[in-house]
Amino acid sequence: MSKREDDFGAAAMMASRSVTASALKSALVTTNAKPAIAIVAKPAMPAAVSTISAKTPTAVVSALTTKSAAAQRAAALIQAEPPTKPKFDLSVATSPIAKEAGIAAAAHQAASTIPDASAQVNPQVPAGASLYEPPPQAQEEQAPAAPQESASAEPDWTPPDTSKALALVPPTAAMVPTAPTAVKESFWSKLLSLFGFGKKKAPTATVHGEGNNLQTMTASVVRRARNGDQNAMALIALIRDNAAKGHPRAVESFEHLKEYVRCNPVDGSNPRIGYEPDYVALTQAPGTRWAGDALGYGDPDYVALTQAPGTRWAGDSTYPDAVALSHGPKLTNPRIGEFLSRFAGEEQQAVAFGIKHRAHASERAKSPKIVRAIRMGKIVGQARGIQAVRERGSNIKAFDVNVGWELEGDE
Amino acid sequence: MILLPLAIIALVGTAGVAQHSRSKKAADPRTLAERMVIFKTAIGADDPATAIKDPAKLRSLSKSFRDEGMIAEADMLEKRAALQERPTEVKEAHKEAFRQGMAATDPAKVHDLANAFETMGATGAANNLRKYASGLSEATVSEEINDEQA
Repeated sequence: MSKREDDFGAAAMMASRSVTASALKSALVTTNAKPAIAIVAKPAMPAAVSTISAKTPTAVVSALTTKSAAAQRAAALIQAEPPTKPKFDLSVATSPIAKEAGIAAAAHQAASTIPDASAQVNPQVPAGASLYEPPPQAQEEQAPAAPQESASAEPDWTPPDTSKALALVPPTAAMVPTAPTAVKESFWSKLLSLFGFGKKKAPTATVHGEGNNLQTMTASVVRRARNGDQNAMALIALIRDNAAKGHPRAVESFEHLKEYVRCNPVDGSNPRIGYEPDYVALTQAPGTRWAGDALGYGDPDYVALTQAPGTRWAGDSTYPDAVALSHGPKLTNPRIGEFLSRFAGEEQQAVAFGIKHRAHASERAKSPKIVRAIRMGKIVGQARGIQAVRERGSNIKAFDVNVGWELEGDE
Repeated sequence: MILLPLAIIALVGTAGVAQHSRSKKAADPRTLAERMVIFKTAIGADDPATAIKDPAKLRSLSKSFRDEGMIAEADMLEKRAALQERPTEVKEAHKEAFRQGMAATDPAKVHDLANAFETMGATGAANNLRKYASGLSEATVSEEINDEQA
C-alpha cells in the first residue's frame, strides 16, 4: 500500500466531495466482490440480531452500570415481590392517641395526590425513539413517570394505612399534618429563640420539587432507583437497614416503599438497567436495515459493516470487526470513497470522522444513527490501519508512534 | 562476661538493620501506585505519545526504580533503553516479525509473538499484537455463532 493510500486524511476529504454516478459505477466495478468476512456472505438478518443478543449478556450490562453492593441489595429489595405481613393489628390500637392519629393520617392521605403516569406518556413518541435518555435526575424532573411501569398500573396504587405506624408512634408536628395556621409567637418565645432556645421548625425537604408527602416521595425514590439512580438505591438500603433496627420513621417509610413496589411491579417484558441502550429497538431501527436491503446484499463489505456487531451497540468494541474486515479485500482510497458515497449529510461526515480518527474518535452523539456511523468509520479506519502495517516498507509510526519507536527507532 | 554485652550490641544492631531494610522495601501503597503510574507513562502503556524515548532518561529512571526495589520495572526500562542499540538488520527482522504477526490468523501464535516482544522490552508492539489476537479470537467466535445460526 502506497503512502498516499495510507493517508487517512484523504478518506475524510472524500466525504466532502460529491461523488458522481460514473465514479460510483467505476468504484463498484473496481472493487473486489470477495466476501470480507464469513458473516458477510450470509445475509441472514435474524441470525445477526440473535448474535447481538448473545454477545450482550446481562453481565456486560451490569459491568457497564457498575453499582455498589449496597445499591445492588437495594435493587434486589425493590424487585422483591411478596408483601410483608402486617406486624401490628390496627384493632389492637385502642388508645385515644392512636385513634386520633389514625383519623389524622386518613385525612392526610386523602389530601395527598399521587402523580398520574398516564398524563406523562406521550403517544407521539414511538418505541425506541429516545434510546439515549437524560440522566435519572433530569428524567425525574422532566417526566416523573418511570418508563418501565405501565401507565395503567400507577393509579392502582393505594397508599398503605399510615395509621398502622402512626398508632405506635406519638404523633409529632412533622408526622401529623395540620392546616397551616398563623401562630403568633409570644414575646418570650421570640426572646428565647434569639438565644437558640425556641422551638425548632420542622424541616421542609422536597424531592425534586415534588412536595414532601410520604407517598410522593416513596414513588419518586422507587422510580429513581429503577432508573439506575444510585443515590435513590442507597437511600432505600438505608431505610431498610434502619427499619430492621426498629427506627419508627424508617419502619413506616419501608412499609410505604414495599407497598408501592408491590402495587407497581417492574414490567419484565422490557427490562432495562441504567443507561443500557435499547439494543433491540436499535437493531430493528429502519437505519440498520435499509443499507443491506437497498443493495440487495450485493456488496458483501458494505453489508459486513452495516451488520457488524460493533456497529450495533455502543457497548461492543469495534476492534474484532476491524480485524475481521482487515482479512478481506484491500481498503483502498477509491473503495473507501465509494463506501462513503453511500451516506449523505451528517452520517457521511460521521463515517469520515471515524475513519480519520480511528483510535480516538469519540462516540458521544445524540443520535444513534450518528453513533453507528462513527463506529462504522472507526471499523474501516482500524481495518485499513492493520492492512497498512502489514505492507512491507510501510511506516509503522503511522500505525502507532510507540511501536514505530520500538521497532524502527528514531530514524 | 565480655561476650555478653557484645552479643547484645550485635543483636540490637541486626534488628535495627533488618527493620530499616524492611521499612525500605514495604512502600506505602499510595507511593507504589504513583510509581506504577510513572512506569506506565514511561513505557506509554495508556497513551503511546507519553512514552519516554530518550535512552539516557530511561536508564536514569530505571536506576531510580532499582534503588526503590522495583526490579522488574527497572529491568523493563533498561531493556527499552537497549532497544535503540540493536543493529539495523535485527531491527528489520523485528519489523518483519511484527508485520507477520499482524497478518496471522492463529491467536495463540500471535500471543507467543507478543510475549517475545515483551521479553525484549517492546511493550507497545506486544500490546498491539495482543489486542489483535483477542480481536481475532472474538471475530472467529462470532463467525462460528453465525455459522451455527445460519
